[in-house]
Amino acid sequence: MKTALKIRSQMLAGWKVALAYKFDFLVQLITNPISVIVYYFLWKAIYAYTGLDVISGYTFQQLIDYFVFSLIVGMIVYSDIDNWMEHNVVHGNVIQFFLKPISYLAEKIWFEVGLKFLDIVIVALPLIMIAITVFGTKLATSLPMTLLSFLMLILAVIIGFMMTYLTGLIAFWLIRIHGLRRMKRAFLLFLSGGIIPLTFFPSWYQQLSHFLPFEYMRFVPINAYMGRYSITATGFDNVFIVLGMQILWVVVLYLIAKFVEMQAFKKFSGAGA
Amino acid sequence: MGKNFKLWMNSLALELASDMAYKLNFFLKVFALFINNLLGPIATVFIYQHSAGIPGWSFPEFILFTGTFTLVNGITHFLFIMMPVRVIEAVRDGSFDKFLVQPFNTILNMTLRGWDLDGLGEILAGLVLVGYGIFTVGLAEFTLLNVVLYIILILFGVLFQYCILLIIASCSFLFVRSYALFELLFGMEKFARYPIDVFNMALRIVLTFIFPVAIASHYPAKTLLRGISGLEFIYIALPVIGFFIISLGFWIWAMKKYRSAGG
Amino acid sequence: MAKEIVTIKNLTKTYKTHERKAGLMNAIKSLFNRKVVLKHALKDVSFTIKEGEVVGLIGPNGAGKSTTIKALSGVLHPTSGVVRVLGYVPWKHRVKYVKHIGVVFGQKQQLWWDLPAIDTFDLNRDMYEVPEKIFRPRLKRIMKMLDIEEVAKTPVRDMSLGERMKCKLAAALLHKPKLVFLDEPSIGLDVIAKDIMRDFIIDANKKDKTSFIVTTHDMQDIEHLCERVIIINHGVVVWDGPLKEIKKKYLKNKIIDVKCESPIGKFRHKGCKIVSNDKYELRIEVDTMKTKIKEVVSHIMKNYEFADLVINDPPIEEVIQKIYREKKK
Repeated sequence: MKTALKIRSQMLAGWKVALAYKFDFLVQLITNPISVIVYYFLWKAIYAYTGLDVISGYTFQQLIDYFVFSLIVGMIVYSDIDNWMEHNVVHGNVIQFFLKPISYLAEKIWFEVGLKFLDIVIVALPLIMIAITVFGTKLATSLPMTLLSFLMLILAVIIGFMMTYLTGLIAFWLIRIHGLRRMKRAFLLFLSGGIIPLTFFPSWYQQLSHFLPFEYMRFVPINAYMGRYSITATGFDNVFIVLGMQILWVVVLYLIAKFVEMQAFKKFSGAGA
Repeated sequence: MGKNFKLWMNSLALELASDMAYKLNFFLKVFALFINNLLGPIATVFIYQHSAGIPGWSFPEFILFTGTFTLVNGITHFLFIMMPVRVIEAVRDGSFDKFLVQPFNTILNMTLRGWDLDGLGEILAGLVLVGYGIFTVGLAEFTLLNVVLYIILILFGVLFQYCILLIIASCSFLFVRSYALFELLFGMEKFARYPIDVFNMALRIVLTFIFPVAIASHYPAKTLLRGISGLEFIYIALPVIGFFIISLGFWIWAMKKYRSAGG
Repeated sequence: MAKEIVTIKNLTKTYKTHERKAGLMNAIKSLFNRKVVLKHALKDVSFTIKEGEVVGLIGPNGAGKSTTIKALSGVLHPTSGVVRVLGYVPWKHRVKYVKHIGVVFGQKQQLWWDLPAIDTFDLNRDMYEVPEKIFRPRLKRIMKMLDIEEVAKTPVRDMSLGERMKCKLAAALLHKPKLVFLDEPSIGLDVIAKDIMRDFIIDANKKDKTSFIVTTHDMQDIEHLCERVIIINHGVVVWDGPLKEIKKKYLKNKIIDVKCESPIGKFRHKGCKIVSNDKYELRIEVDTMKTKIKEVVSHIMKNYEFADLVINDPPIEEVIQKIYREKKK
């Protein structure tokens, strides 16, 4: 298909740019294990001091596994595309993306995919190896669940991308969105279960969270992978229900993004040089 | 010295005078740092609700601990964080060369231009957290001596982080990938997020004597809450001073290398 | 008879902005009461371009040339009027349309900054869907002409301005576009680089019948490349015709700047008007219809101890002001 060439062009561009910055990626090979080590000691102490095997629905091993998966999912879902978009606006480079025979959105998303590939290959895999050998992490054993959680991971990536794309579009109005990006990063991390699993949150928030996009970016795919959903339960314990919510959020965010995009492009074409 | 201070004031004034859109972004940046540093403590609330928490640290005590680390980070951020960036800029546009003749003036000049107003957000968050910790534990529990020692140790903590920035700056004009180094060194600070009591003996030794990052959080917080002996004070302060001397030496060596390489 | 590739008829673009006054009080006021200001970027612009033309599009800053470029590149929707390029309505079929155009921005980053230029070239091959067997020989030829075979292997961020410019030019033409926009293409280039660039453009125009629209403040570019010039000022076309005509009509004058080692007293010569006369510096406007430049120069050389002498065209803004003033009559 003809468009495949254009997609490949952007993905390759992302991959090559990532290679150019490989040292910045490689640092994560050290900082990720450090994160896990710190959590390991912290929670070992907490569990021992509390004297319980299970805290907030997780055993100590399960919680460690959760953090490892959270680091990996975080790497895959995290998007910096709003940074690139802000850079485009600040340096007056936006027009060039309209001179490429590809939509602005597609140009960004496929570039991002290429960019992340290196992260996944160089950083995520070694981290899993370390987690399995040193921290006793167990991989999922159910093939259907694994495949399902991988599908959910892809949907999570799209949700993460859309939220970041929306943030980036705001640059068309505010030009500099540094502060906004900082908040977005921190809140997405926190509300998606990146600091602690959502089971620690008050139950009223856990209920609310089912109807917000954030948990679908990290917590839900990890839960699925760890086999914590069932196919027979009712409500949000059912894997198909959460999958459905994920798909719903992908659609909703896409529509919102397209709408804001339209406004942003209108603003852009009215601006100066 | 006076000239440098004037430079600092001028660039500060320029930043504040810029237009509305940038002012909005500035406010958002500061606010973002403030609110982001409260998210961790919210997680702490949840952790203490579901468990007994960290051994040896009650909830307000640990909030005070987190606030201390935030305060140290905030002060470093506010005063020094841009220093490596200024060095890289100066190397790129060639203005660095005129400083080579005076190494100490260079450090001073770069340091004074290392400020970043965003740090205020972090400082504010730190003060809120420390304040909460102090008032919840109860003012009566604190002695004046401990408060003074606390402040001194916080400054030591800032000094330690300054050393890290000095190392990063030195590496940048040896053309090392400074961003990666920045991530690496500040990544190691993750060990300072929690009291070193949770770690094993080996790590505690490393974090106190070899890469003394515990000075940025654990020791000041512990001192404020439980005091510190004179001996202990000396043996946690010395590694930081040693670290400072080493990083200063590294800077001077790196500048010499830069100069001899033709600059 | 050459095909018409660009048709612009009564192109008008008006947009609303809000009056912005400086200061905190006004910023707060504007939250409650925003005064809408209509900006007429383009007013009834019309011109056509035929295949194989190299047209200069000039005008002072804010004249409307960047708005015109935006309309032609599919970014802008006109308020009214017709724009047709290569059979397309640019903003309606943007993705299909831009495959056939190339753009070079002299002052903007266009290549992948962290990658060697050759990577951008290869990536563009896929983006523009050019078959490899057509692409490779064309690339080789272009790189040879622009003398960038070696430099294309280095990351763009490590290149000099001139090298980057040449690579940008290559990238814009690799997919054999029918129409190419050049925006300030020679800015910051040294004389040799400018020559290489101009030769390359002329070659592409002759061999591939590539049409060019050049917007620039550098009159040398216009002189070397463009047979025809369109001048836009205040959103209106004030001139559309051969460059030769402009020169005949308006560039009769030259400006001579003289710096002397001893004070210049009065200066008088046939056909010369004094623009400014400081003690050691003199600026003269010479009417070349009345007197030859070489006569004025030899007069200066004979009678003054000059340290420096520079001969310039009057600034383009002056020419345009003159043209615009005439139009107004």
